[in-house]
This record gives sequence, C-alpha cells and structure tokens, in this order.
Amino acid sequence: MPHTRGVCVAIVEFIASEAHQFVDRLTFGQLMRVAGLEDPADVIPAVQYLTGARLHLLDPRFEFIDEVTDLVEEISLEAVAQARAESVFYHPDSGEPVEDFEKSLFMYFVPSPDALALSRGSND
Amino acid sequence: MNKRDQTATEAELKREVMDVAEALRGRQGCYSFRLVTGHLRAAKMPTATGWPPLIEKFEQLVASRERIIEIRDELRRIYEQSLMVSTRAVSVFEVTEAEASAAAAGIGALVDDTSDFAQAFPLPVSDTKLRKAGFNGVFCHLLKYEDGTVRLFACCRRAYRTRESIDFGELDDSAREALEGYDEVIGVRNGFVQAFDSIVVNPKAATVEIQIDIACRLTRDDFAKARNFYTDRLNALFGEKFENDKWLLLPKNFFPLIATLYAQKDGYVSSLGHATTTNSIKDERMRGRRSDLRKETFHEEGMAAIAGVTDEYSIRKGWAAPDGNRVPSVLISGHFSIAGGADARVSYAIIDGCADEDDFAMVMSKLK
Repeated sequence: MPHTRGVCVAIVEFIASEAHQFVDRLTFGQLMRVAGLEDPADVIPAVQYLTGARLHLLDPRFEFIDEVTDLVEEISLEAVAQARAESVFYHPDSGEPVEDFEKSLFMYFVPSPDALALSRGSND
Repeated sequence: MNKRDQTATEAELKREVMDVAEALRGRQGCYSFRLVTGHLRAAKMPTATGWPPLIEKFEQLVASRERIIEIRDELRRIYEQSLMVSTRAVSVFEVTEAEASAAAAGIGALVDDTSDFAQAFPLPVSDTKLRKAGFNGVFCHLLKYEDGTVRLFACCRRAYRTRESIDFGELDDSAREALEGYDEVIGVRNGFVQAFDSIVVNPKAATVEIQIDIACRLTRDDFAKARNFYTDRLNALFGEKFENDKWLLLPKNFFPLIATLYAQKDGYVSSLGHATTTNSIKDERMRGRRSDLRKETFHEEGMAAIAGVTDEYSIRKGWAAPDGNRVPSVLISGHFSIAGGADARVSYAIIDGCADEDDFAMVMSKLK
C-alpha cells in the first residue's frame, strides 16, 4: 500500500504547479493518476488528509447528474447529508424522489482557497 | 377578500390550495421545482426540498383563512406563470403593424369556449378527459395585455415514453423464469401530459410568436408539426383578410444569432456546438449555467489555436435574472449538418429557466 505521505506530496505538487493553474475540479480518477495509483482505495487516506483541517487543500463537492435529461447540478454538502439521513433525494428540476439516488450523486474536489494561494504563491 | 372567498368554507379553500398545487406539480416537466421554491421563498410561503414534502405541508396546513387564501393566490400566480414561461420553443413571425393589430383584434374568434380545455382553464383537465383529447391544440383562452398584445392559449395532449428498470425481485416465479439469462429488464411506460401552447400577437413589435410548451420531450419534427398546425389555422383565419393565404410562412431565422450571441460578451455561454476548420465536430458544454465556456482554458486555447475560424451550429446562453437567483437561457439548437451552410436555418429558439414573464422578456430581448 503506498505511503499516504507520498500520495499527498504528489497531489500537492500537482495543485501547486504553474502548469496546472487551470484546474477547477478534480475527480478521484485524476487524483489516482496524479499519484500513480491503480486502486481507488489507496487515494482515500490522502484525500481525507487533504480535505481535513490540518492541511486543507481540497474542498469536497457533490453534483447530481441526470443521465436522461443531462442535467448537471451542484448539490450542497448539507443537502447530500440530509438526503442520506432521510434516504430520499429529490430531483432538482422535477421535485420528485430519485430512485437509487446515490448512483446519480458524484463526488469531486476543488482546490481550496489555501491551495489557490499556494499555487499563486509558488509563481510569484 | 372577494365575496366568494368570504363565503367559502376553510375546507373548500384548502381544497383549492391542493388543486392548484397539484396542477403546478403537473408542470414539473417544463417548469422546474427550483423556480417554484424560489417564488415561494420570495413570498415567505411554505417550501420544501421536493414535491411530496411540499404537498404534505399544504395538506397539513394550519393557518388563518386569510393566510390560506394568500397561499392559494400565490400558488395560482406561480401556476399561471408556468403556463406562459415554461420551457418552450418559440418561433417568431415578422408581420406588419397593421396585420398584427388586425390579428390581435380578431384572433379571439378561434377560442372554443365549449371545449373541456376551456372549461377547466387555467387548471388542467382530468386524466380521463386528457386521454380522450387530441394531439392538436384546442384554442381555449385569450389573454389581453395593456399594451395591446394578446396571448391565445391552445391546449392539447402530448405523449411521452419513459424507460424504467424493473426489479427482478418484484416479478413472480414464472416471469423470472421467462426472463432467465437477462441481466436487466427495462419497462417502457407511455404517458400523457397536457400542453399549454401560446400564440402571442404583439402589434407594437409587429410580431406573431408561436410558443410550443415543452411539457415533455419533443423532437425537431414535433416542433415543426405543432408550429405548422398553428400557422395553418392562422393563415386560414387571416389569409383572405391579408390577401395572402401563406401569411405566416417562414419564421425568423435564429441561425445567424448563434455567432452573434457567442461574440457578445454579456451573459454566460454554457454550450457551443461548432465544426472546426481542423475537421472536428465539437459539442462543448460547461457543467453549470453560471460557467462561461468562453473563459474556460480548453476552449480558449483551442479557439486561439484555430484563430477562431470555426462554424457554429448551436449555442446555449443565459443571463442572470435581476435578483441573481437564476439564469434564464436560450438554446438555439442547430444540427452540425447545417454548420457553415449558406442557407442554414433554425426556425425556433428554446427558452428555459424563466420564473416569470419579466425573465422571458429579458431573454427574448437578447434575440433581436
């Protein structure tokens, strides 16, 4: 199992790199590739660390994607927590319950304000 | 409070709240729940995360008569907006001011007051009646505006199909046996919705707009068929008077606006379809209405690399509403086959994300 520290360093270097200043969003898949990992489970400890209070460089986000209508809608963390607690998620447009809603909710990450400062600072 | 409301029982008033709430829920295919909650929030009315809990709130409403009437009236107002500014395909015919004035004065002759749609308007007809209704619009109500504009509503049945996954566990043994070897079973459900199309005649602007209510998914052919039905009816009514039996023939061509809208710096271009001079066909799209493709790195660099020499064929562009809570948008949706064509034509623009007539007018003002 790769060392979490090494995975974190690879991700931080990627975010801070001048060549990657365009990055607005990152998926688990991209984070795996950045760190040279093959198993999604291996990136999770690093993601937990980088979204935590000690070195907060990534902000988690969720979006709802309706494969029928192609709707893509950002869903707040609170709304996702509420949906999970109540086991029901309502479609943002129709207002009706979405069956198997977890299949339509996707997690991704955006660079936190600290990460953006790090990125800009590295190029000053 | 009007006389009828004064004499109505609380149960009757609550029934009216539920009737209009259910009617508004029936518009969910073309009038987003987010727009409904936006209205309710602004009016300090009960709101919820979805229709089932919202309906439950209204059912369990404990409030004074005055408050129940306020809620009913607000729901009615929202519902009526949903009939006029829902997601719709708009075709615009440019006519003379004299023709538009005469048409505005005479178009009411098409209303059939005896139809089921007219009797129920503005509420929808019952499911039983809708099942028996035709697919062509029945003119059922005329609305007159202060500036001389008139809106003629036409209602009809529109059919849609949905595909749903069927859980093997819900099938009996014989059905499961018959389907052995299949990993997934998909059921096709046919449904119907009531559409509320509009014909808007504006004498000052000298235009006739045909607005097709996209109450369920429609194809380009569906838009054309519906539009042609209405132009035929209007040409039959006014052709002789205007000495032109093809009075409404070619609607405004929205195709040239695609490049114009892309070039104008305002708003958000959330999608662009274009065929490049480097032999690619690109459907580029941002993940939200408030993101602008023109400011996205991949798009910017790509366009710079080809010096912007490309043939656009579709665009979605939106503009923030004055209160900043939504982004009413237009979609001009041409197919890539028409990209770069000398006679390329798109006969309608799809307007969506509008909460009210002001939003709609704002988007239409961008299409001149």
